[in-house]
Amino acid sequence: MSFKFPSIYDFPPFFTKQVHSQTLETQKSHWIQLILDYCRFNKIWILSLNGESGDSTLDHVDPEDEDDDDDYAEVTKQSLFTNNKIDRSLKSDFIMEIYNEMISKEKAEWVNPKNHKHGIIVYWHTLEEWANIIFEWIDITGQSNTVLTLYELRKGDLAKTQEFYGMNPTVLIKVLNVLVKTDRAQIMKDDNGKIAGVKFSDK
Amino acid sequence: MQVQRFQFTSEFWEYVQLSNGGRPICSSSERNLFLGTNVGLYLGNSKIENYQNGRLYLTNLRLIYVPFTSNEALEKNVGLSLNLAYIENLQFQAGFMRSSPKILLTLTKLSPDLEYDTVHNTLDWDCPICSHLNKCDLKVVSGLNVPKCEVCGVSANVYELNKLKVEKQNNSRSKAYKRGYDNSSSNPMICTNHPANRLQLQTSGSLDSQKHDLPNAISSKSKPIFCLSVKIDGIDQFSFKLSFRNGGARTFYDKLKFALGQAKWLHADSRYQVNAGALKVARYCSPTDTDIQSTPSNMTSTLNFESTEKRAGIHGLETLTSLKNSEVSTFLNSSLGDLQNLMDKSKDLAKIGDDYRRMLMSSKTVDKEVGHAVELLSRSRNSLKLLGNLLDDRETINEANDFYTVESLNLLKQAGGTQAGSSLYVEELSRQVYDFIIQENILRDKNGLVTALDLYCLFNKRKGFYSVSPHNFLLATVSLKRYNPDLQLIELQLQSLQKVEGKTAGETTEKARSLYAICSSTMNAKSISRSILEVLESGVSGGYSALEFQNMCSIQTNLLLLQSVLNVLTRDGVLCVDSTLQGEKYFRNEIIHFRA
Repeated sequence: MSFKFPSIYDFPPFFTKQVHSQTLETQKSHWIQLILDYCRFNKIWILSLNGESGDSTLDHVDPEDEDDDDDYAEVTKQSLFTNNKIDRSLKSDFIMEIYNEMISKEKAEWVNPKNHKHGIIVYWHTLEEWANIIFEWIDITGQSNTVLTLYELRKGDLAKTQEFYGMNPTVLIKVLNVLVKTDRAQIMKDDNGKIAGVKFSDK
Repeated sequence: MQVQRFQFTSEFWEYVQLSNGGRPICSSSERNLFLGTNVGLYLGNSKIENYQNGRLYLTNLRLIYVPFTSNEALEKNVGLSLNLAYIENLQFQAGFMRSSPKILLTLTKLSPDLEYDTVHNTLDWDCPICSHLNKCDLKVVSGLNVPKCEVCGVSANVYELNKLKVEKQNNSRSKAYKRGYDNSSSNPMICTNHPANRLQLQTSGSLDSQKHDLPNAISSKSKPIFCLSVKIDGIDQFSFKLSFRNGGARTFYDKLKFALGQAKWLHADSRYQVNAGALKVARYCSPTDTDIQSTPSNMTSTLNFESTEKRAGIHGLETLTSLKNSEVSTFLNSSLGDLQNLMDKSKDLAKIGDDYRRMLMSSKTVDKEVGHAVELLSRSRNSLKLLGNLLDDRETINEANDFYTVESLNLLKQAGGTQAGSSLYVEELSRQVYDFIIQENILRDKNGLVTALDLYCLFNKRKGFYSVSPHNFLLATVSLKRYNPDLQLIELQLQSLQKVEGKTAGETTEKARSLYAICSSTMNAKSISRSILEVLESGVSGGYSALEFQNMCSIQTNLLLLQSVLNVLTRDGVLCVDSTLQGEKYFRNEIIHFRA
């Protein structure tokens, strides 16, 4: 089953930045909603600058690279921002504007604020909401006071039916940090400082 | 308290029709020379109250006074003209205290007795201090008995008085000769046509009936009525003053003096046949109405040269020039009749075309019809040639007129120099632009709208190399609405808003590229907008480009205006735009109404 785009997606002017301010605001909010719905449906946690899933396209980006001299990324035919049916695609500067709007509304966050090439983390749930969802699942499945690895949380058999299944490790760490801050979880690290496991407390 | 008004008419002044822009309509031999504004007319020393603020045009033949009207668009004005040939003498009176500088016009007087008694025995002189016009007896003027100013008591300059005296005596001698010549000659036209013979002084009561007879349409016999606050009994009806309240009197005086000299020469040349001894020319008789009589290239055949002398030297050249002028004017005079005849010929030609078409279409040939057609065709050959020549002549005359019009405009610019001069220049330029638009049918030819840039180019091209600056032209077009409310200067938004970097870092301003255009006010943006929305609501394909909109029957309007309306509708959020490499298409704004 593929994602069903809203009817506005087939309206050609939707892909042109509008002049009228109120229309532009509405247009951007429609785009933000579309991105959130699309990412939720396709379980895309990180979205690249050209509108593709960040996990697959960002392999070539050096994580240490902090050179952010160019935010331009060519929008491909597979991108969310391209409608092959009506042969329209968004311009990269307008995509950046939409991303910035999402960030200001706390619906997204730069993966690396110093280098936008890494794309954005899309929050169709806020970090607090994700923390609650995971904590509820731990409680229901009786895994309180047990130590779970990050892999078990992301790809474990028990978590297969859950919304957070396959969550990007970067996002998961951010969610766990929220739980730690509210004393609902405890992160255990190995000698190298890497996260070895997480222990959730009782409700 | 009601002020009593006294009215009179003067045969010297006549009503003249003005152009749409409120400028005098010049004849083919007439050239605009100069212009003064805020000019008041005086009869003697009394104000003519209904003509105290107006523009005064100087041409090489006439002085034309156009009274000020607050709303020129509604009240189409008529002007007054005074033939320069009526002006006998000219004097400049400098301004003193609150009195504006004035030009005194002494018009030609007819009555020999009056002329001799009152004019030739007295001498008019201007006080060098207060510029008061004094009169003194010619006999009195001598080195021992120097006249003094009646106002300030300053003595006159004896040298200047003697100079004036000599000039006066020379003038009177030439007049005496002229009178003798007129009486002895068989040409009674000079006396009977003299305006002073027809001068009618009327009381206000007798003029009441004439007031109602003054229609908007000017008849050649109607004369302007002058209103005075004093009785005319003690006023010299032959002297008029022009008061220049906005300055520029001195320049106008110089120009008028020069024009007067030329006009006198032209007058003498045409009336007394100054060069008649060198070559006698019988004027060309106007053609009959039935057919085209004038011949284009061998026009001289219609002029009878009866002179046995050779055409050489200055007289010869003068005669040749005069011949050429009369040739051109004859063409113009007969042009209307000729054009009517040409119209008839063109109908005949159209008939011939039909005949040939029928002949070619059918297998049978009708010899008789073809013969008739060929005959018609051969008869029309001369007419076509003549049409070509007429058009050439018209073009030449128009070019000459344009040259002088622009030259007079440039003189205004030079004479002004100040803010007042500049505004006068722009105002006159605006009138010229308006006349140009009307005469050339610019708006009709350009689908009801012409961009200011196009109009600027057309105007400059028409007026030759004396170009008008873009800034002045724009200023002139802004006030076009003043002459005709049907014309409007609009600003067309050519593109969507774009960000422009400001002077300081980070400062950006939104600026739209726009273009000025002149169009008739019947081109209503609202009606165009309504049509666009109707098309979009009933449309199947959803969006249309500006060109596609223009091609639709309901929105056949100028593309620039249409584009401007589309841009405005997009900026207002009524429409939304789809930009691609192929161009822009406009849709109804579904984005703002979309609910997921």
